[in-house]
Amino acid sequence: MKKYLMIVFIILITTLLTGCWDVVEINERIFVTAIGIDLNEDPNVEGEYLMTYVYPNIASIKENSSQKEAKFVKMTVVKSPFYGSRQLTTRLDKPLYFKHTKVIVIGEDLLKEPDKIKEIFDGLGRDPRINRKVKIIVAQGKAKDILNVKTEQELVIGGYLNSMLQNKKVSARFTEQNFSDLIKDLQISKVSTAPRAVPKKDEFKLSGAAILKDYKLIGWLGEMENSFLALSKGEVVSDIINTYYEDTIISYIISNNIANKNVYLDKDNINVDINIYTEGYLQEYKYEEDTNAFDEEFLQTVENRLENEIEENLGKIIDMFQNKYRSDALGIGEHISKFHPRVWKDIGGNWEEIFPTININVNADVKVRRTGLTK
Amino acid sequence: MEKNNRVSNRQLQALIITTSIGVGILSLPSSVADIMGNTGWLAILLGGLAILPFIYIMNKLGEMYRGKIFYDYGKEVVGNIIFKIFSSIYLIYFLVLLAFIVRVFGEVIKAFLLDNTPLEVIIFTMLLATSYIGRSNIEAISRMALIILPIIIIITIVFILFSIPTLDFTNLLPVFQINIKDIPRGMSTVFFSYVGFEIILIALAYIEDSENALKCSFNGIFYTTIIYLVTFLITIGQLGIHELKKQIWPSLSIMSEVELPGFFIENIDGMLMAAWVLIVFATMGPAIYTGGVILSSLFDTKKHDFFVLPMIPIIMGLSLIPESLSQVYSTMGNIVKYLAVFSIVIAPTIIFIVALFKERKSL
Repeated sequence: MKKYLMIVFIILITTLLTGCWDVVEINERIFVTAIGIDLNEDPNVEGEYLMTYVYPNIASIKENSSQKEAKFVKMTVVKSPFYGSRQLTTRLDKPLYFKHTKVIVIGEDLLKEPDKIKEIFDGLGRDPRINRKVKIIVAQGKAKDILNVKTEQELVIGGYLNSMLQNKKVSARFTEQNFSDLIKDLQISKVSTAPRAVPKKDEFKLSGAAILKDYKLIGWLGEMENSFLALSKGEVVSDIINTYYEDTIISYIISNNIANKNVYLDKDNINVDINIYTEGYLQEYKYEEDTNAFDEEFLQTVENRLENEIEENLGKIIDMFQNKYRSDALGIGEHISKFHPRVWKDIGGNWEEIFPTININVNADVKVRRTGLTK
Repeated sequence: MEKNNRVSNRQLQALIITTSIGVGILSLPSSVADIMGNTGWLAILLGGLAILPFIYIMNKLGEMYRGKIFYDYGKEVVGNIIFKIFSSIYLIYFLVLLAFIVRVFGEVIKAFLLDNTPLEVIIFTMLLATSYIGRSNIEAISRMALIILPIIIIITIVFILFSIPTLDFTNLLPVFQINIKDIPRGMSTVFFSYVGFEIILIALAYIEDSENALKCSFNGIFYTTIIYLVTFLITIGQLGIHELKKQIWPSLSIMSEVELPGFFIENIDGMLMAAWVLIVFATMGPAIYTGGVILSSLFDTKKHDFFVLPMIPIIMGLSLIPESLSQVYSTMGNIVKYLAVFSIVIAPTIIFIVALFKERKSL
């Protein structure tokens, strides 16, 4: 009798040993790669946000696949952004999965309403499913227009945007920004930038940056302005600067960029020196029969011109930040609070009023190390 | 006692490290930063130093009554009835501590790994698993500690390696911009994160080489302090002071920030969580074992193992009382703190002083 009971018990126990009865296979999941958030403008539909979700058509990734559409774009209008994925379950057979979301594109209109942006950022920070390093892009216009663009090389727009953003080895026309750093900047210096996406016909380009202050969009930076701003922070990996030498354009490629700040006080003013050091090589000059670039004097002049170029352009940008936007996108406040805490105690409270009055000097030190293969 | 039931010095050291590090390591950086700002590392250092006198007291007691556990020689020192009251408080402390740990554990697992599984199931399975190690003797527990210790060290190293590229140590500046009054508050928060090393009150009775026990106990606390310091420095370097204060579990948030080149490794928080389960196991195992030992000393039984299973429903009930996670940290956390102060600071000190007097008298 005991033996039989034992056998029955063992058989019963096997039913408990089957693992993963509620497993979700990888092809049963919808991997959302990019999310777009816009303000809803259609008065016929109730809800404030227009959410756009992009996910790859996994069946089309296979070779010789008959499926043409490489990606799906779903849009829905909702009252709160995080309600969107639930709302979509009424229209999709599988649940949306956000763990691999690469990019969040935010529409221009939405960024003019700081309360809504705060709501979204708070939700993003709380959600354990969303990676904190998700890239943030600001669309000039509508986020949905960016996400609807058909891309050629990469199948999925999220991956496409992501690899575009990582493309910083070529230029500093835009600076990638992720959620975690954006939030950090907005908390410390109240100002941050995020790359701007401009929709064109059948394509879009990433260029320049959106300037956010207090969770609000206050202006745009052009692509050259963005690269000079990146220079002042020492963030440039590689970029090109042009200057003139006797009516010929000289292109100089920056291959190394270091920047530091130096703050000192005199009687009643705060002075900030921004020292920028760059190393690089000549990309092009004029072809002539004599050697023309392999000359110390020539290089000296070019270096001086380039230094002036950087100082002038950055001066304009700093002036714009001080007087037009009245916001410290250069991180000077953060620098003072860390390295001169005593000074910061006095001025930190009304930094916004003080920032436009401080003296900022830019000192550029350009080195042309190589001239390419010819003399 | 049994012949092989012995704890070596290395095991003692591992035991102190693994029992101290548990759920505290997840929330410690943000709770310290909340009080001390970016000088929180100072509180962690001082907190580690503040533990040392009590380690010393516990070791001295262990020397005076060699071969006996605290919950037995306590009866000789202050008398049976008074010590039974002490023991009961200890018992309550371990029950609430376990409830607190297992609840936080359940909440973390639910948030990061198993969002569909009911909290009760997570808690119950974890308690069942720990009760297995709780039923064995101190030797098995210290062996377990020695096995789990490398996992902690590997995680810490992985943690450092993965976050190095994005660390910004200027977040630590400005240094020493603190109010001196905040230091004791910061220290008490840190103190709570070292809770768990009371296991040496039992382990010292079985120590192999009692001469070096004190040194090893100090080393154990030293390594724990280092691990806490590293965690704090990395979280603040990664998140910055403002964001650090906002996080509930900054150490885990960082794990989901890790990004290696290519899409190859991402979202490694799952991997970390799996290892962290073992760390929590190594904290809860000794605690539930101690609970059993206290019960057996209260009821004067020879064995402790049959007390362990009946404790599970009590712990589970306690752990489900708080209605929300914030209540777990505020109310329940405070209760554990007060009980911890009694069982680490007050009770050993009283017994130590009384024991000293008794020793003088008998001379």
